Amino acid sequence: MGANDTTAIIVEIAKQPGEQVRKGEVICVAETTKSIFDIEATHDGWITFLAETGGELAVGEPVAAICDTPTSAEEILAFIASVSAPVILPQAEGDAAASWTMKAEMVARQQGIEIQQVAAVFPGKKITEADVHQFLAEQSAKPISVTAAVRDLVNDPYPAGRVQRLVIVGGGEGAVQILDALAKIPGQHAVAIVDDNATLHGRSVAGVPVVGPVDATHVKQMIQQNQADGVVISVSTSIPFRQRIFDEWSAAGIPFANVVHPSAQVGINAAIGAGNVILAFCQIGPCATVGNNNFLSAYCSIEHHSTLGNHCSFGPGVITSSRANIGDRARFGTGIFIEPHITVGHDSVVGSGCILWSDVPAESVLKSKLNYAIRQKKVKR
Amino acid sequence: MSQMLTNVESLRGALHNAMADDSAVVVFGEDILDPYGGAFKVTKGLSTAFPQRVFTTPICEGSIVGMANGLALRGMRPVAELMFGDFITLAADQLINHAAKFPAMYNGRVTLPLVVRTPMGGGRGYGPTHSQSLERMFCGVPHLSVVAPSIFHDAGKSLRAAIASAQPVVFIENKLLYPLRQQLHSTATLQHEFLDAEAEYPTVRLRNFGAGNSPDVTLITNGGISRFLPSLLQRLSDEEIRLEALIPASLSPLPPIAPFAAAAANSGRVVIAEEGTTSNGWGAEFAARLYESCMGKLACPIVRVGALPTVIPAAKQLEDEVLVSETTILNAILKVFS
Repeated sequence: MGANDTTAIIVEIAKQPGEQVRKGEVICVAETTKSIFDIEATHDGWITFLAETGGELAVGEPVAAICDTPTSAEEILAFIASVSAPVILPQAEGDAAASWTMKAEMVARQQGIEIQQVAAVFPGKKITEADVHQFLAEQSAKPISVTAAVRDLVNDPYPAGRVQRLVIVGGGEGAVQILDALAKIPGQHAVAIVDDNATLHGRSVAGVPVVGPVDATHVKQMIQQNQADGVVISVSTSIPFRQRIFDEWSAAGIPFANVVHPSAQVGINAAIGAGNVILAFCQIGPCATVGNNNFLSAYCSIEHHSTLGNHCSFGPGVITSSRANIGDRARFGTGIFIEPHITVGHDSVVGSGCILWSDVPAESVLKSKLNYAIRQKKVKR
Repeated sequence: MSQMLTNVESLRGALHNAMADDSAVVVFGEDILDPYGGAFKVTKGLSTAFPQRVFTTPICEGSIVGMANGLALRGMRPVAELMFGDFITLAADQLINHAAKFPAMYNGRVTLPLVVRTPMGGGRGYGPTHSQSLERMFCGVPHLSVVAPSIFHDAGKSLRAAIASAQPVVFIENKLLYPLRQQLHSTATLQHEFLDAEAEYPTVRLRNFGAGNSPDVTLITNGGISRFLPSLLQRLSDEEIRLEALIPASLSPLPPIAPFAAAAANSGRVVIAEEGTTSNGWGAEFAARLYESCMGKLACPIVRVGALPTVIPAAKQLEDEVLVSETTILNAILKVFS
């Protein structure tokens, strides 16, 4: 057979059915796309043809059988069937595990759940994409049982000296940083997290339950029912979100709390508003003023007599010198130095690595043009 | 529906019909005369039917194409066969420096209606110099067309278009496609349509999902890779992954990019698969064109799939390692999707 052929046509049968043949004799002639070739007897014996002249056979199909005694085609076919019966392999243990489509698994992963969670809800069914969506819809539709979910470990009915119980808005990495700080603050404690990501509901972050979506009614109810005392926003990446939640919830009478890491230093006569997150090794210098709802990552310094507005977000290592004046909703990257008496206007964005020598007008975007040459280090070997 | 022709039957029929319809068509190449009828039997029966216009040649690809150029310049419509595509390198000078340039160099006073047919591709254990896919070396040469039908194209119709063309055409036939039956219609699970049915060399769109759904992934491929698609589309369908495959027959020049860009923007995820190696290749050109049109519209980088950048071994298992398989394409699709 040529390498390009998958079938051959029997063009001539050279022996009579049932005739005795000797090894090496031509029994029939086959044609492929490449050429015509002879098929020879492989053994001595009596031949029975299983193909007809003109028949097209696939590679591997029998042409004829040569037996030690004359044998009918039926007997030979029965014999072939008996030896080529499919072997049924025993099912491996746990084979049922792969009972979902790849799409279903991918959608589940994208939604932050395990496909096994879905499979557990639909036993014995091959899980499809639609099943995953149904599972997610049912999860988010479940009523939130606030009383049961809030982690109130503070068994203290008296206001004086009481631990402040906080609700954290957002269950992401900002929440982890706040929880890390709270773990070191004896006077504050997180009792619940609210987040719009339904896949987090019913789960917990560092032991604090995510009790439901970002919903003012729900949080206010928790405060009214004496399950929580204040709120802090952990989301540092979206200033519009911070501002909206702070303004709307403050208007609704929900109190905001400051979370200040114990390693942060606050100078004399400094004023700090509400809803601020001030993380490790920050400094608020003497006579500095910090407004409301700012998020200061580690190692930020608001130096003496500086003024910081509201809803600002700082990456780590933003250092002001004296009497800086920072407006509302400003956003800072990492590693920024600000000279004395500099004003940064509201809604500005200052990129990482900037050094501010002059005032920044409102609604500016600053990007550092620092450019480094990187070359291969010469190593003596 | 009557059973579809195999690729080789379709090409053979097209050659017979072209010769019957136009006495200017001449066919020549190595060992193409009956009874042998050519290494892959595309020309089988042709020399018997048209003994004056079908002839065999010495083993010299440069001369074969050079002679074809002369015939074309003098008003014939030569169809030259190169027995293996690997040897098209020997005819590169005639194709690039002569055939592709004469009409422009003579200010349009001559045409060069030349077709050079040649089989490419591996998978047969033919070793390093009989298995390559070198068509990309001729892509991007101005005024030279490179055409490669898939099993979802009417290969004979494409060949007739190439013979009718006034411009030189390198016509790529994949060895593994020859015995396969063409699939030119939709089936219960596979939607088949032409993006541009009126084009000289149309583009096929295959989908393993029905109307009203949008694709998860867009696969752009050509020629021999199409042999994997019936099985691949079914496998993905079983896994609920909606694949849209776009298969242009014209490799060079590329077909208008707009419908490809629209498809890419629709799914946001693109895999480009080709039989040959990927560096500086057809897929690279296609990806660059898509990026020009799809900036910001893709969910992830385009992934290209092709043969490993090495020689193609003769040993079957090693050859399988080097060449593209259904699995490598499947993995690329899962990669862009996850």
